[in-house]
Amino acid sequence: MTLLSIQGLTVTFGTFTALNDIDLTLDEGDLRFLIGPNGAGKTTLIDTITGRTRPTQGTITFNGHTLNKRSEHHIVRTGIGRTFQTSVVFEELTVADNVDLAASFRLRPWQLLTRPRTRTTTVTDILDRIGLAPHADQSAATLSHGQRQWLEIAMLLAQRPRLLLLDEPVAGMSAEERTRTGDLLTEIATDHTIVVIEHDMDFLRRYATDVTVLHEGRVLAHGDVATVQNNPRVQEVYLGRNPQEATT
Amino acid sequence: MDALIGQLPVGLSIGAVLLLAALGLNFTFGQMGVINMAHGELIMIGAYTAYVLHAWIGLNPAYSLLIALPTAFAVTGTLGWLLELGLIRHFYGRPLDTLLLTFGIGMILQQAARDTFGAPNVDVPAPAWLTGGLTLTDNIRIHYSRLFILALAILCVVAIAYHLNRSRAGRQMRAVIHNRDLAATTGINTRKVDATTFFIGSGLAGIAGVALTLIGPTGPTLGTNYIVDAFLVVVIGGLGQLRGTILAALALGLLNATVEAWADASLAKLIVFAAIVAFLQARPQGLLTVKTRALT
Amino acid sequence: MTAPALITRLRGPLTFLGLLAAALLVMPLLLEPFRLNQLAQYLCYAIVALGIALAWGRGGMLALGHGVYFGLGAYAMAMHLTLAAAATDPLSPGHLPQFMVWSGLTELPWFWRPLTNPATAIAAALLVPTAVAALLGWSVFRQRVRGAYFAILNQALAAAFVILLIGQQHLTGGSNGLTDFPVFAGTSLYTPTAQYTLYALTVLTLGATYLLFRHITLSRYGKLLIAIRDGEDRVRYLGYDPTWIKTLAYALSATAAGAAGALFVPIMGIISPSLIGVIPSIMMVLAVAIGGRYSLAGAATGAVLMNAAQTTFAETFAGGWTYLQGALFVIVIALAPRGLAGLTRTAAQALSRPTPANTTPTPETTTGSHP
Repeated sequence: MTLLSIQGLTVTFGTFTALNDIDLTLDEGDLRFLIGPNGAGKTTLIDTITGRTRPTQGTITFNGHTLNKRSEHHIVRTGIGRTFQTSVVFEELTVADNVDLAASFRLRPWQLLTRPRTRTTTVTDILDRIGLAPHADQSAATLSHGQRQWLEIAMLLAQRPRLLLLDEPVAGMSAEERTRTGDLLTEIATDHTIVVIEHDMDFLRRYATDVTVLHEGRVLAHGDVATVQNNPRVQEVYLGRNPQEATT
Repeated sequence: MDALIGQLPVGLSIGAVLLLAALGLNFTFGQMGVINMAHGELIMIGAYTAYVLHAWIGLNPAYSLLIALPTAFAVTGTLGWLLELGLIRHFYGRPLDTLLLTFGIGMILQQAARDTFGAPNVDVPAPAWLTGGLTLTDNIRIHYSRLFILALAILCVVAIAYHLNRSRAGRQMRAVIHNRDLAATTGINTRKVDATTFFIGSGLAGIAGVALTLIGPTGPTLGTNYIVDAFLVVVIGGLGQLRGTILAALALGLLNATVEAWADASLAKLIVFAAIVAFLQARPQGLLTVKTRALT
Repeated sequence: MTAPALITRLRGPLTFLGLLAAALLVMPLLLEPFRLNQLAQYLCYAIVALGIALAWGRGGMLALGHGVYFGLGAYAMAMHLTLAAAATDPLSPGHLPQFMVWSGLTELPWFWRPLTNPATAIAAALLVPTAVAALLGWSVFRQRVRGAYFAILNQALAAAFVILLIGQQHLTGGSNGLTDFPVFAGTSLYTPTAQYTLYALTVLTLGATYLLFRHITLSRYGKLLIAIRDGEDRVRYLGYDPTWIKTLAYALSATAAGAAGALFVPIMGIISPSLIGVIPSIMMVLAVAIGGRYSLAGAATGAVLMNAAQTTFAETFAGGWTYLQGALFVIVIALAPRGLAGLTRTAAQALSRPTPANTTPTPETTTGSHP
């Protein structure tokens, strides 16, 4: 079943065309990797899906809703969650509170005004799953870089979205942290639809099955990792002119 | 209708005064995100500079004004530069804190003026060549002093535009306004640019102060009366936008004058305020803006 | 629950009840009526401070125009009291307030009429500020106008409000304001009992506001406010609309200011534009900065201390006091952004990190500047 359908999407900033006539569909349960050189339009694409940037042309349909003119929080409420390149968590709040806020947006205003006495099972479950349970009561400011990225993923899961958009989730992580994040992604992908922007080729080869390549605002290629890597146009514009170099 | 046309020169001259007061803010607020509430007091000091030249040093009113303009620019510019150097530079990125901090400075400067010059207002006589006015029609008459302020505002705008677009320092300034981090990586000394910006921005407050002596008395609270309106001009114009500031100052001046023509002057302020809030519904970022991708 | 845990848990509420009892029972014995009246005035400002701490400390909305909301509450009550005085004044034809008679008015303006009723006056003192703040907040927050812009709009509103009050002298009493309030609901306000009742009402209002705001800050909503202060756009991606969250906090802070204004009028005996303009509004914020913007109790304490100092110093050496106030702004913002209530934390941060004290991170700087 098609979950997200993007048709003829164009985004321009002044005279600069960031996205140029993009067509893209995602089925329920997909784990899609989005790659492309700097300025290819990856983040702009996610920004446009989530309402941060407005489309100049084209339509974005998610689960039967047209998203074009909706505000960010409405889009989240239709079931799309995202993370950011530079992880943004609330440092003044505890780790558990960060997750709790993410999990609570469906509450009515007066329910938000009540004082929670105990931690909900949703929050404890997610903290366990991500491995942040030992840090639950710490302020988020005390987390390491990798832990912050995980907290963002935890907050995303707490939102219970149908589509997760992750913007460079392993950027700046150590090899060990990357492996954990990759395993986590694979596990989450069993019951979620996910789009991941990633630069790291090694990570891509290990975890990606389905890759879309963007270049200068257009979809350049689409397929599994091997197909994409062997596509001469992809090699030329993204992986460098020398295919040998690209695979090392 | 006649009454409205009659208000046109009034509106233009209110706009010119606002523009002079806001030009400096456009630099310090627009480029550095510093809300310098002491800007009003710098305006006041500019006005007292004109007073000192006339009353203490005894310059002839015929040319005292022309000497006061560059002197006030230097005096308030230096004060602003010192302020930036000693205090404000520690607070970049904390606009609300700079607001409160500089308000404290403003209080101190205001009290210092009260202790130096006394609480009552003083007058700076306008030069003889600015007395009288130009009669356009039966209803429309413009004082020469108002025309002078308009000309002064235009002159300042031209000078700033020239500085920003033609000089090396000005281009660096624009680069810093547009993208501070990028400017720093290209080798621009942003510290130096900030200091220069503050000097020019504060100096412009001095010029505004001298201009204000032409249309009214000078007192310690002179700046307070203009500072809020001047900030509104910057808000409406859009941050760091010279053209936006000019348009906003003129629009606000004309709006003030028009509303006052048919409503009570005390009601006019509230109506103008409502108009600004309504305007922000359509253009929340001000008239002209630079788009960023920053997440805040 | 173990005994130590119980003590920790009860410490807060017990301190609160202790302070409340001391204020209600002990202070009236210690202070002569004149001083008790002054304390009641300071406590009114403490109520305003609670509101500013909620909007600014928690929600990041620099409420630089709270004199307006304080003033709206104060004028609603003062107009009622003026009418009550005129009703018993044999020299006042048609029960018009004196200043209206002098201005040549022959009948009561429409917006004065409902205020003849004390209940309406109290309702207006609470609801008008709330409604004005909600309208302003909703219309600008919706358009994502925030930070410095919002602060400047607040100031502009305060400036416009005062100019209106002064200009419409025949309707508002002009720059003299409204004064001389002998009776409320048929009872004299000048008796010691009335004065004590007013004082006690102020203490209770302060206590109730504190409890309400404390509950709010501890709720999910309170955490959401902090989240919005530190990263408003990020909160949108958690599925919340910051508009109503901010508007609610801002409106509530205006309600508190309105209540304080309504109490202030019979205690002080006068309300005038000079008490509620741009400068008094900023002074309300200064008090909160001194006490500690992140702490409700700190903010309230700051308001009492600053207003007490104001009375003490302003009478003896006004000029020096202005210098001191200006210096306080600089010192508090530069060296103790968390105010008195956060001194230990600020000091700890300054010691644990070899950074100059004036760059001590406050929440706005640590998370407000992500790219």
